[in-house]
Amino acid sequence: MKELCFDEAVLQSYFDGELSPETMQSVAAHINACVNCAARAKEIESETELMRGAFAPEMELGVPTESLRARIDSAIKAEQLSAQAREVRKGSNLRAWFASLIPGLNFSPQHVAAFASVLVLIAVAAVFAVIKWQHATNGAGSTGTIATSATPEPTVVTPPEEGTQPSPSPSIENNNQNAPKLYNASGRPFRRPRIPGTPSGNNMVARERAPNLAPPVQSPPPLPDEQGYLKAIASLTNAIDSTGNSTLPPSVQAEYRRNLELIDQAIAATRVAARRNPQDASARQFLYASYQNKVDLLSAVADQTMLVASR
Amino acid sequence: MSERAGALLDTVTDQVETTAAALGFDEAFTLHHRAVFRTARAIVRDSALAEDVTQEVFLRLYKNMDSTPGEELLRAWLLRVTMNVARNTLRGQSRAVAREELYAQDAERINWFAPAPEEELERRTEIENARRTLDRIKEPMRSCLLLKQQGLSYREIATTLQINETNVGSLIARGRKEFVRLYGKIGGNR
Repeated sequence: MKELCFDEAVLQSYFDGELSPETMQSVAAHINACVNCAARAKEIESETELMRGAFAPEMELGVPTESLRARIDSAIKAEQLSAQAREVRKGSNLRAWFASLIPGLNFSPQHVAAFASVLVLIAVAAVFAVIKWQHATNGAGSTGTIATSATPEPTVVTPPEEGTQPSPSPSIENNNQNAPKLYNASGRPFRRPRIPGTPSGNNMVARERAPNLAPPVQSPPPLPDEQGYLKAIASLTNAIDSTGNSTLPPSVQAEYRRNLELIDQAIAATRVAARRNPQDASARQFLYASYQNKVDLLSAVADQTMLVASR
Repeated sequence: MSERAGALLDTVTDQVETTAAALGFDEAFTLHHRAVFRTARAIVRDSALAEDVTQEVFLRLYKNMDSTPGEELLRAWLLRVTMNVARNTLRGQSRAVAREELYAQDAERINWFAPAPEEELERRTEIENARRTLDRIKEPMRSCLLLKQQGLSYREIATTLQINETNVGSLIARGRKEFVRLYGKIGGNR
């Protein structure tokens, strides 16, 4: 009989009911016939019982079904919400990027502080650019006055028609570097150099344009990289106008206009310097940084209006 | 419902699982949350942590409903995730928190629900003895015993622990012998 005895694993499986019906039968038959295996079987049984008893108190400890159910339900709700958010983001990565800019328009202290620091940077850049430009003009004997971005009133930038009439302008500009400078506090376009015979009617057209809609062209030719910024700004402005920024809360609108004015001032100040000194890389960088700030702001507002309108 | 009656119902529900039809998330929770919670508690030794683990496990189930195995091996999948999450949770805990401290915390919690302090003290000691004994058994025998205790089949145990199914019987037999030997010693110290 010895050779037919089953090993411990088979006996264990027998008591755990893990054997095929045929093997179960043959093991049962063997245990009945073999005294040795009957004793081992008894031992397994009693040890298994002891283990079951040892773990019984632990198994009888309560399971907090209700609390688990509630916790998991709320975890799943949170998961669903974030999945929806991911869907929306998938729909428009651009929108997500814009959305990340939107907090800049909120009024929590961090955001105000962050935006303020950006504006300070812009102001410093503008002052620097203007000083550089002043040096350039001083070299030509200029004593002109300069309006800087620190001016609180909105500064209206130069009219666009100069670029389309190149014949008189370059010489005019070159010959009148000591002419009164570009801005005034009333928000009117700059005082143009008083050149006899220069037609003044075109100025009226320019004045009627909102200064932010189509950034006007300065008498010195635009720099090559400016066009991209100008196009982006124009299309964003159109987008905002077509959606209508009246959908925004009044406080946000006010903030938007304030920021836009400051950025426009910075652009106006840096543009003059950059265009007059096309070789000056840092002046150009200041101008592009100002443009970029404007693009960022407009993007944020455009997205905000889209979001509000789609609600 | 008394705890004993609840435990009996748990066992019955766990057995019903094998005949259930294709499982939705709610059914999976109803059928398996006890095994998940108990397995987690057996590893982390703390009810609150075990709840955290259970939540994480079912959240993973929810996120992976499409890729989880069918109902036959769902419990094995859940307990495999449970063991991983529970062990990571333990690792995340400061190692300075000794097991003894966890025992004490859990004991307090057990005691808190206790209507009869003396009886509960005895029960608490029994639980601690069984846990300490299990702690001293080497892997994978320890996990085999733990999962066997939760009512898993050999196949489920093999799937959960990713071992060969033909070895499960032998591992349980060896673990059982080891458990009895150590439990006798620990029990004798009482």
